[in-house]
Amino acid sequence: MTILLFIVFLFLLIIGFPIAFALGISSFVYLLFSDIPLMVIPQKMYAGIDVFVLLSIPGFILAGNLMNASGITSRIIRFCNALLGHIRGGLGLANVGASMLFGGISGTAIADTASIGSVMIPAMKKEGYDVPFSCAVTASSSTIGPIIPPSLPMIIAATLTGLSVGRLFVAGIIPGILLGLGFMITVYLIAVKRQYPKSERVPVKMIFKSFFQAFWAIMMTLVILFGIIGGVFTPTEASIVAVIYAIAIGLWVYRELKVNMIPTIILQSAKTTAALMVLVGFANLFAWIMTVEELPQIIASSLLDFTENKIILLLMINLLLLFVGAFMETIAALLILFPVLLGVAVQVGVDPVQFAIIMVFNLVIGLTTPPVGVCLFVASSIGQISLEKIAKAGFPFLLVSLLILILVTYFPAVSLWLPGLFYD
Amino acid sequence: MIKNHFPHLDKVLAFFINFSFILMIAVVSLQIVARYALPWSPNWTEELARFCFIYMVSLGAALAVKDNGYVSVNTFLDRLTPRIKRWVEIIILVLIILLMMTMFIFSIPLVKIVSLQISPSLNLNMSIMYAAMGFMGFFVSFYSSIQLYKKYKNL
Repeated sequence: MTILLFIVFLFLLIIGFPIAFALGISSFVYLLFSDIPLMVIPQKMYAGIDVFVLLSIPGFILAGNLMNASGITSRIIRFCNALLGHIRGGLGLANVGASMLFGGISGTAIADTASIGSVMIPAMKKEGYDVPFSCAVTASSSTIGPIIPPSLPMIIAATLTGLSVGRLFVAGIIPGILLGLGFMITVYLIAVKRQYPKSERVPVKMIFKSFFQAFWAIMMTLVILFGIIGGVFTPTEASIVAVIYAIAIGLWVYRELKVNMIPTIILQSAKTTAALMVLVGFANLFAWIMTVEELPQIIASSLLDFTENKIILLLMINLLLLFVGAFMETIAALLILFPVLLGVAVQVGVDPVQFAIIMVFNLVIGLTTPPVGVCLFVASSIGQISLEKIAKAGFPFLLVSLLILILVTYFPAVSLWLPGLFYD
Repeated sequence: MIKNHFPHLDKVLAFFINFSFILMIAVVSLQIVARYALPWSPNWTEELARFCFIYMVSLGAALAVKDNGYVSVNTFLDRLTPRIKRWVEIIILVLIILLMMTMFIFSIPLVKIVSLQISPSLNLNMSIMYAAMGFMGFFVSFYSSIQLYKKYKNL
């Protein structure tokens, strides 16, 4: 019976069903063959989305969209250019830097690739960078977004297990910064080898000026973070504070947001949230069936039977997740696998917070690898070149991601030191 | 006129979606302000915010169908000939409609069962909350049917 569930799910996924409905329909087929009443479909959908922490998702999505409509992207890019442009490969470095700052606003990698890529890829092309390289930098660096807070996958991970959203957010900061620095070093080395251009050094006064332009965006991240860490507000409240902050900045500081644009942005954000929540709801149904079939226990015990060595077990889990991440969308994979694998990891003594970071990190790597790397798709449509070329140019960045993944996996302090500082 | 068959329904749904979202923002803001600046803190804010969220999601799910807002993997679909691709897309829509209609139909007995429960702080009948699942099932099926009709007509 469980095999039926998975075969139907994978089949539907491959032939092109939206993931949310592939989960729903495979569960539906399972229910038809069992004696469980079909009423569990609306029931589990409801239970999946009636969670207070999830209310922070529309807020963060809306805040990100509002900031984007206020012209924040170009300001962040201008600041990073002023700061890093004079180094060799400056535009590439600025691309990575912008992703790190933008990650503090948007929380999803696709939004990051789309907004930064549409400005940076043409700019890099014009200055003589190879197009595949430009696309690869954009796609790879946008995976920093879901690791640096606020992060939708971290919110979902927290919802699934009752971990604190604040702790997960803070735990992502150092891995996110390491990833950014790793990418920057790679960009620099490649730039030196290929003699990519650098621009004139910008006067310090100009750097400060561009900093003050981008300042309000950076402030938003800090307000969210310190608000949550300091217990001033809950993650859900923080997301609403971010919305009000973004409206205020857009209307009165940047003055690019117009009041009549807001309803459209709200509607768009609501639709994005809704599509995501349908996924969450059906994944809840799917996961419930897995529990009925005692699948988590079976997977856990067979993994633990194989080995109880923490190092080998984590290596196996990482390989599994990298594989899954290459085929499946981050949040869907998280919904189905996180609760199952967390049980295993905890049994061999891995901290749940660290494991959440390991999991999200693994899955976002898949965003930039074929066959199903959504960031690759977006970058390739902006750069007008094939996926294969970008994937090939992105290989050095993939290696960097894997290196940082190893650090996160085998050195708990990388993720746990900072939350320990703030919380314990 | 293929583009928009039911412009009024779109607008009504969009109105309720935006209304729920804005009310949610207002209610959560009130919760923050009340905690720090007002002498009293209403205990119903969280429940009302969740209520808004669930309705926003249920109705938004329908309009997301129109925008192709659901993430899917198209690697296989894009390799098919346009004609077969359209047939596969039709099958996908038919199954989605089947699933969501089932959800709609089975939300009716569910709503009846939970009508015995009252929400803890607003004292609302819980069937109002669960009815959102029925709306979701119905409107997602409805918008998927429009997509299906368009696909079929272009075959």
